[in-house]
Amino acid sequence: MAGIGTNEAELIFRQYSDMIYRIALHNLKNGADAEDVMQDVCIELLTKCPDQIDSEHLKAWLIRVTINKCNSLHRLAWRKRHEPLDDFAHLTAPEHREIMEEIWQLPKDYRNIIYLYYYESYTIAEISGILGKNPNTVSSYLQRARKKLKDILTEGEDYNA
Amino acid sequence: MHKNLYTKTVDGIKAPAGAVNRALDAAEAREKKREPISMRRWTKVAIAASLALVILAGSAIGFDLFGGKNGNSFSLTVNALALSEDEFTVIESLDSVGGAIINVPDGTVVEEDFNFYCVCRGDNIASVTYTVENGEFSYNKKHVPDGREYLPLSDADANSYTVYYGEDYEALINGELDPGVRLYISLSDDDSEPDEAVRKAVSDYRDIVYLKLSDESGTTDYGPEIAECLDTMYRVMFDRVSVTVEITFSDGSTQTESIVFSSEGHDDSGRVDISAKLAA
Repeated sequence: MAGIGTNEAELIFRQYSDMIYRIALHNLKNGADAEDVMQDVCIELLTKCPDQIDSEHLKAWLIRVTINKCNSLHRLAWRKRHEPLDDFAHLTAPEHREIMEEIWQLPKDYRNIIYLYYYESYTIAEISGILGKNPNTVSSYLQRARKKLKDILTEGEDYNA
Repeated sequence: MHKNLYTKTVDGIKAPAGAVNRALDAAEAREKKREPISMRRWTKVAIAASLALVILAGSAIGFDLFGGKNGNSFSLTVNALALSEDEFTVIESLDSVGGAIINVPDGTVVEEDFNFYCVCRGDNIASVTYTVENGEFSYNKKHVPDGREYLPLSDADANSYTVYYGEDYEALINGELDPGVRLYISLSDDDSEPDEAVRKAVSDYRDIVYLKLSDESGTTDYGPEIAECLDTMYRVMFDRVSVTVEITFSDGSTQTESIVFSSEGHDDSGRVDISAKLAA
């Protein structure tokens, strides 16, 4: 396991910073905590990222590290309390806020799978590899997430769209 | 709502202005903190350690430092701290609750790693091989000033690496290069782990620490039950790890020393101290 150079790490971090922040926000529901995770991931990138890794594996590695860091931050719950959602200024459009509020009602594992499947367009097999979960588990979580979203939502089309 | 609205929503979520630079600055500051201590400070540490050896002549810290066979001698430091056989020395503090990573694909795996900057100094040393038991080494590549990548270690794999003494190593131990070695340890509660005490410590850590503190309601506070569970998990984690240091001298003779580890109790923020000493 070897690390990459500082300049390369900075370029990579800038390229994937939005993705890291989005995953962190899906997991933590809190902008300040998501920023903390960004810092942790940046440090991991500088110190632990394997060198000679291709871009697809690098992206998957970053996703895995980000989710792990979010899990670690959850464990600091007694020190970090969630800020109210109203403080989160990214989602100015009401329909976008509603969407994220629905997503945040899902269990954390479901949110990650929804994000990876629908936004990053990963296949179930790829998500299985990234999250270290059995493909059947991923598939089952995805089905349950769809059902819960359907149950939650009062209007609109099937999430399979 | 449908998929397009979700992707449009996520499109609108971007890392806040300045957050990227703040993260890079924080990472850079953290890296600087990890850089090897300056020559001046290192020299002080080395002199202090040597003086201690003079006073404690005959102690086992610096084997044969004063006229051993053929003038061969060595002494060990980890993270710039001299180790002894007599007592454990704190070499690193870990944010145990926030630091340990847990993975639960088919079982539970708890992972932890920390800086392990081990330096062996002495007379007539040709090479030093470090081998870890129940752990793995990880290495960070560094760049020397001329820009080329340089890892001053040889035969480096997950369990062992060797440093050959010469100009490169002189530069390394004089603080110009950082080998960036970290020690990585993991524990599992699946069938591959033969020790029942270890399996129980891991599953307790998952059930009592990880799951309770992962509760998004944030209602679980650090308390005696969690502290005890963390103590147990870290104790079994470090009790089983050791690093063997084999020094080969210029005349072909070798000497071996072992480093063992221990974890100290947690404070109310969940921090734990990792200590090391030379095995008796």
